[in-house]
Amino acid sequence: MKKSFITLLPLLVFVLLALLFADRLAAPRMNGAIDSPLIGKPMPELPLAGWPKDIKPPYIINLFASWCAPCAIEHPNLIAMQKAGVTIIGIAYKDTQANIKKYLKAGGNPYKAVLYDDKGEAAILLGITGVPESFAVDAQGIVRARQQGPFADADTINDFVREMRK
Amino acid sequence: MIVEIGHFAFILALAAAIIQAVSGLMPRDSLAASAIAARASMALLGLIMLAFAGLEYAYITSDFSVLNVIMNSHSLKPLVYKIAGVWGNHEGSMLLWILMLTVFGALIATLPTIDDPLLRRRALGVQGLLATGFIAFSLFTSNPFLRTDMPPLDGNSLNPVLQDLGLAFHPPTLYLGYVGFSSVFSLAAAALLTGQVDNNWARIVKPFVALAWLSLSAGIAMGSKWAYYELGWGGWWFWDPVENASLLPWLTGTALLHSLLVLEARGALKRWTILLAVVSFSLSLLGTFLVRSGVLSSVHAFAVDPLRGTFILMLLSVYCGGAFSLYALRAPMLKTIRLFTPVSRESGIVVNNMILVTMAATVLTGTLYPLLMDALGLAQLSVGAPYYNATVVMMAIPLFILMGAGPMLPWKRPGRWLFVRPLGLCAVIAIAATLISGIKGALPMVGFGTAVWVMASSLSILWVARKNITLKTLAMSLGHFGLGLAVIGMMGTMLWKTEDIRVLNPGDTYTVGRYDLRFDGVRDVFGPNYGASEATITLGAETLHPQKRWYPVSESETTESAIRLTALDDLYIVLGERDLKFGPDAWVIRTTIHPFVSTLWAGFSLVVLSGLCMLGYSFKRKRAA
Repeated sequence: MKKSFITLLPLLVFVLLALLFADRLAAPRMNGAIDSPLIGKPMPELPLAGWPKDIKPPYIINLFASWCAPCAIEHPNLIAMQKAGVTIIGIAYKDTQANIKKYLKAGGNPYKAVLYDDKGEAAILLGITGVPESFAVDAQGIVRARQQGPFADADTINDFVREMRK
Repeated sequence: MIVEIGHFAFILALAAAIIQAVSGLMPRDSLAASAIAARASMALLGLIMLAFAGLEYAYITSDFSVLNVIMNSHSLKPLVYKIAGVWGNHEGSMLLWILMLTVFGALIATLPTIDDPLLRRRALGVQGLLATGFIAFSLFTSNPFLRTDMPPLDGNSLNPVLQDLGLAFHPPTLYLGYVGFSSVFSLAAAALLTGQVDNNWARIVKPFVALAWLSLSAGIAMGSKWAYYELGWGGWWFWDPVENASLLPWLTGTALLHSLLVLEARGALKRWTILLAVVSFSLSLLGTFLVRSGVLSSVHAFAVDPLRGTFILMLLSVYCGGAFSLYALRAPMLKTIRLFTPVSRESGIVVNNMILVTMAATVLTGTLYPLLMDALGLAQLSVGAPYYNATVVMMAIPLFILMGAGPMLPWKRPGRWLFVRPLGLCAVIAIAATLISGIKGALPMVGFGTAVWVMASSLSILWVARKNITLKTLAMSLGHFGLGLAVIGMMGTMLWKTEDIRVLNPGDTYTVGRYDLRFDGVRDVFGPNYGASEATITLGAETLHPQKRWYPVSESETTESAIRLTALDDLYIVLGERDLKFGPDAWVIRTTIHPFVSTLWAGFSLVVLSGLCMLGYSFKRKRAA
């Protein structure tokens, strides 16, 4: 009896592992990525000069820079969103006023307001991994969604705006 | 048309695999069944090769009516990445996996060294079962041959990180190792069925273990090198769950290599050796499950699909559950109760096995701990390098001490204590080298000392045997020496790494370690399927060009570090972000000097070479027999 228990041990360990895996497979998953912890929480106050008190949510906060190639790619889509009536607040990440002015003059200005985050403090607070990155803030001021990387296609944009208007 | 032939061959292969499994496992012994099982395995290999060729054809000709090609290729991609792109995705890599599985099936069918017809037939049967399950998995949940009726003009391209020569070789080598253990698993299950586990079985299994182990070692080393040079990760091991998944079968496989020696020489450790053979492949399957089911998040994870996860878990349960059940039933019949004298080669190997298996259990626990905590609803966490450094590294120290001493010990019992003097000499060399090197701190000193001790012991064994060096001695000495060398490389990179991060304007000069560098600015360059910012950094008469690449088709960015290699150290430059605060063309540049990296790679290469010696030696022995 004692002897056969030892040879049974590997099977027991394996069964326990298999049960664990089955449980984890059945559990809901987030496609391997953990979404922003800000989601479902009020938008934090950002340490930036000139925060526009008169702009009321819902709006989209878009972090961008003139030196960022993907930002230039998503720029026409931001203009289209603005034309469709979406309020977008731009945060220029580690950039200069002169460069941003030039950039917005050339590509058009989709932003209701542009703030400057030259030290990247707002970026750290928002936990961004790079630019462009956008946050949808609903009418109650709650962060509803985050978009990492550019708005490249209509589906992504529609889903995002729908979250903001919820 | 050619793609259809491939698809058709793949479906036929399922039938061939079923025939191989049934004829191999049929209880009644008959010559006809043996012949059918062997021929089915050859037919299976041929069909899978045809299927693989069909998929390669679709990739090379950029046939965008095949879904898998659309998702993972692009017409502008260089040819070599089109070829390698086949296994850069879940479906295609599964096909490669199956190809390897059938290669090992054919080897079991044809190797003349397997002199027990019943063992061969049973092993072919188990191998056929494995092939049946995985071909069914591939056909039903991840078929690479599916077409679309609306072919697009061009594909979505391959993840740019994977567009590298490292990709062409790293996965196939690693798979050869993972899947190589399938043959060891089949032979172990077959031995449990026939009830014959003896030194003859050890002799039969050895070349398979050697081939799998050497491929796994090479695959791990290549992956580590790829991460270091091409991905700009700046390190060579990260304790990522999937890296751990490749380390686990390596650890138990290494234990198996050593326990086979005892089984062959003394006819002992039968149950334990069989268990290691089953566990090594089970851990390979576990790795496959972890990578492809998405239960763990990892840099290596494929696209997540719960159905696939369920299917692989089912296969895992059938194969591992089946093998462990068979083990529980049959292993008690294997009798080998023999006591070893404490100071003997076999005792050394038993302790070596215990340490290696404890290491594997520790790594497995660390890898699965986040899953367990999440399952129990206790916490969401990840286990990082500190855990492994505190546990595995500590276990490595006694292992290395043993690695130096063990090979000098005689089998059975020491008649005369001849090994004491050379071992003492090695210890003196190790202590002297540590004191001369000027290393400070207890752990680094012990690490360096044990590495020197292992190297000295290996060299002294070669010296003693200098007139008549066999491949066996060479395999052992090279493997141990290589590991010692690798540890010295690891210590060097950890202890003497110099890192420097600064913002530079064009024309600025700076000094890091022994290098005087000048930053000459950043310009835009264009490759076939990407655009890049490329810096020019001058070092004497040479220029280095780190890049940040932007791939518009897949909308992703990669870092191409510039690396200058010397025997002494690696100069490693990464281009960071632009920083306009410091000037219109100011950029962040990270410069790192990694000393002794070439030592690390040289050590790994020796380990792989020792595997080759072992493979050669395990064949040579058989020809004589």
